[in-house]
Amino acid sequence: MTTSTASPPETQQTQAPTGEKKKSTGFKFKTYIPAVITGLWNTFKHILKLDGHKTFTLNYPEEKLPVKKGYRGEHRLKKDELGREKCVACFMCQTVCPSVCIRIIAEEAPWEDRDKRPAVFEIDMLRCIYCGMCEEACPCDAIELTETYNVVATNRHAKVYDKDRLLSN
Amino acid sequence: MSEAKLVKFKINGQEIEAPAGTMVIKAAHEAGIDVPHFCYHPGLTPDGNCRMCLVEASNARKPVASCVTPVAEGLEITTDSDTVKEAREGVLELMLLNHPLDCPICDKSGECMLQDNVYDHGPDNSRMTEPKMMKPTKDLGSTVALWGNRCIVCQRCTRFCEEVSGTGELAIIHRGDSSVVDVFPGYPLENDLSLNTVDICPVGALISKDFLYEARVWNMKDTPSICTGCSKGCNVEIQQERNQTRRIVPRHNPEVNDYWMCDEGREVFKPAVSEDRLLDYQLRTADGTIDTNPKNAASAIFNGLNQVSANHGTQAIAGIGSAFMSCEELYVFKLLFDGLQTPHLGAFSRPQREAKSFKQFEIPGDPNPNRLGVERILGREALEENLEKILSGIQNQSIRGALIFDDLLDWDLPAEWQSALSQLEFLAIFSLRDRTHLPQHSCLLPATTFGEKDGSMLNGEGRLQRLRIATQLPRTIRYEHEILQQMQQELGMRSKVVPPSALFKEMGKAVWPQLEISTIRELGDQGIQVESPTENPQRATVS
Repeated sequence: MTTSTASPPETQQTQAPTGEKKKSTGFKFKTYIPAVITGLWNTFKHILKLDGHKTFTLNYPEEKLPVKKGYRGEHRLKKDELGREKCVACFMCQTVCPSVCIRIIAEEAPWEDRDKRPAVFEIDMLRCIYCGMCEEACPCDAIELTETYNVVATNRHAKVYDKDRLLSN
Repeated sequence: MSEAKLVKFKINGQEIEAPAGTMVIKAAHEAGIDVPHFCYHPGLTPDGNCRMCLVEASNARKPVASCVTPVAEGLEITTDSDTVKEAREGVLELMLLNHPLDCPICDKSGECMLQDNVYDHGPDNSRMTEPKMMKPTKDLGSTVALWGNRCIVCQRCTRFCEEVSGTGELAIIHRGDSSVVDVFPGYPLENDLSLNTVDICPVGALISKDFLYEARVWNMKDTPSICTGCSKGCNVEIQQERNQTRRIVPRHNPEVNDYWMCDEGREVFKPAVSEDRLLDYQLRTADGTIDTNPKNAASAIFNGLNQVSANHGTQAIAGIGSAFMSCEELYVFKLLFDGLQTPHLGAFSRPQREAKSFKQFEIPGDPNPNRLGVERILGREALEENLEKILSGIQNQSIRGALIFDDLLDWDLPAEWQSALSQLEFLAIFSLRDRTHLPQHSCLLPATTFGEKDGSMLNGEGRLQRLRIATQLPRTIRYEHEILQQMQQELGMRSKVVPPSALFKEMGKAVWPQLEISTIRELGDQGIQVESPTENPQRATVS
């Protein structure tokens, strides 16, 4: 409050470009009316969007910001062209994971073209720090981090994603 | 070899002494100098076929294979010259020509010698542009599977089958780059040492079917211990992951098992991880309810036995241990029943089987890991005479209460014992499995087994060896020696429950007074010979 009474320098400059210093102590200045009107005009310009200003806020759940490239959200296990998981259960992601959130149990694959597949593949999303190391370590390009970031759950167990959940992500 | 005279020679300028006849690679390894190799194995005869161990020698123009070059007086060996490095790179590039590099799904990955050697000494690229050779993937027998593509034809496995097992099932078939290890048609790899070929395979060509895809080796933690499958007491490494034993591999001990162990011993951990393992205490109380609190186990057994001895005299109770208990457990067991003033002290053991003899390995006929320990601590008659006396005592109702140990892996109580035990007034059983067919038991207590106990065992050759804890007990189970000690406390014989290391001290003084073993640590990883394997001394018992 003290600053506004002491000196409203911007209004002074716009009102008196010629530099008449006497006017600044005049009646108009003391009543603040020109300053208030200028300020209100500014406000109405924004309300009526007369100056072409952009709106920055979003109505979040309905409107979403586009996710930037390389965003690291929830994991997805990729499928090959036959709809089978690409993962061969090599445990590289489990080994490199700094937060120890991946649990794999391997089994023999029933298919001709590969030997091994995961019987169980679980990621504890609550432990995960979304560093993306698993994606980098994967030799088969079988795991990736999607752009999904807003999945909630009502209990902890629901945040331990099993293989089917990860495949459908 | 011990009488061979020492020769002096140099490796990389370092002066080394070794007995004449030693191969250069062995002398180098003993001096701590790394010489990469594939086909050389200290337990097999040198073959010199992989050419990985090439070194420069002062008495040869070209690099020589150090595994087939004996040391000589004044010999100068160089293992780190540019020529040697180039030779190693060349050898490894050729080995990788047809190697599939499927390390991510190979079970050997992590302990693979090819992986390690290529990482340390290999070339940084391959000039191979042609498609790789395809070789068969198939079963060689009931225990071992072959991944032909991965084979580097080092012939360790074929030499093992010729020299150690003497069965000779494996051979190299085809020529040149088609060469691969295989069995003869109609003669699968079926011997009791077959899984050793998997251990010595430097790559993942031979794979254990039992361990296939079970775990990655770098995730497992090793604990040195001994196998409790028979009286040989092979030194083993217990490998566990997430507190579950995954695999047992042999550990070198020249006095016991050398580098090998039998296939049966590798399954000795199965009862501990089996689904029908008994995990809960079932203590039948006076009003007929079942108490599962492990804290009450000692008092329940003690009160039960006391009741019987009050009603029928101290002679009416019996204790039957087993030849699978550690020496420390047997010692506490013996003291406890001495304190209860009963002469009826026996021990169950698995029946003798046929001993198997291989060219360089013996599988003894006694399938009990601690039979000698029982003889030494409980007395020689505990295993047979006392058991018969107890059985007839139960049958004629002079024995009315018993505490028995039934932790003999897959062994089942004989039918006459089952019917006899069901007549008892009070019966407490330490068991690995839920014995629902023994309805009369008053207390059923989970027993501990391989990989869970600390302690010592006396093998058939009189060697005292150390058991170590590899996996923590399931939360509901307590150690037998703790329960036995708590019972001793109730008798007023012991002031507090002590760990097996303290029990070992007590036992060492009482059982082997002539030996100056004061702590269990002195047993080390290789054990101590406490009794002569050849002579058969009059074995004293604890007094």
